[in-house]
Amino acid sequence: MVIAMRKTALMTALLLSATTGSWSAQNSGRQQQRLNVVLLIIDDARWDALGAAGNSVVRTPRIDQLAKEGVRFEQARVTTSVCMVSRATLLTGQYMSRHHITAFGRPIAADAFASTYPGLLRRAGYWTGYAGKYGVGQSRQSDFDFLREYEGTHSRSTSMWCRRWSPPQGFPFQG
Amino acid sequence: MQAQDLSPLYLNARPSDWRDEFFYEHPTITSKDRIPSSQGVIRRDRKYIEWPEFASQQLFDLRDDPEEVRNLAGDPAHTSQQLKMRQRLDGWRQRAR
Repeated sequence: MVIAMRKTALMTALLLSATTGSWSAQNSGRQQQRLNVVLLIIDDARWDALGAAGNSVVRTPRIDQLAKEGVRFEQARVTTSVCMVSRATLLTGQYMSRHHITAFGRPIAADAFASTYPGLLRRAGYWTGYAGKYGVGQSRQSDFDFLREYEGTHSRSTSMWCRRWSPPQGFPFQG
Repeated sequence: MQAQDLSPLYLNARPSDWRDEFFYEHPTITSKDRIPSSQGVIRRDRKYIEWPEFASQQLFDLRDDPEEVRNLAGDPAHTSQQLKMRQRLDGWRQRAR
């Protein structure tokens, strides 16, 4: 039973991570091949909490594989080490001093969101989706083609949410 | 947008004109007694942080003191170094807005 519960916890973490991001789809009208973009956000992890970073306790085989096949930025730095500010910085490409998301519960204004990378990609014909913790104020359904957000901790209720989840209309990836 | 195109980092091993320091900032969370605000500039060999709500500064030599236990701010032997870092930080404060 303990083993089963541990597996459930691990699975939940992977599912939550794997469903956070932005991806392209087929509704652009233009048929040329465009790269899909998936962004996984972990809230929070130390810089060395990955197998690829040399950690011998934490096991992250799939992320390690991505690191092996791609590029790992070993000198990347966060400019503000608090979660909502960091997410706003990642979305806007701006320092906190410019985006002004300095407190919990403060959203990115709709016109500012249009200049974030999901806003720009969507206008360029991408199908955009976000799932998991958003945490830059209240998320807006109108900002994404698909949005499933929750607030709070990775509790049993969110793991239930993951088990119930089924792909929405137009979801571009197979499970 | 203040962000930079990262592609030179994976297309060339070592871009010649890449940054050699970064700006750090943190807002007050709840109150200054919980998490006070701070701003800093960090280079490979030194780190300078200001805590405006406490009129306090920290300067660390990251080569000699990687654990950051010896605050050199206010030390007469490091006055010019502190002044330089402070000017860099003020520059970042302006550019980050």
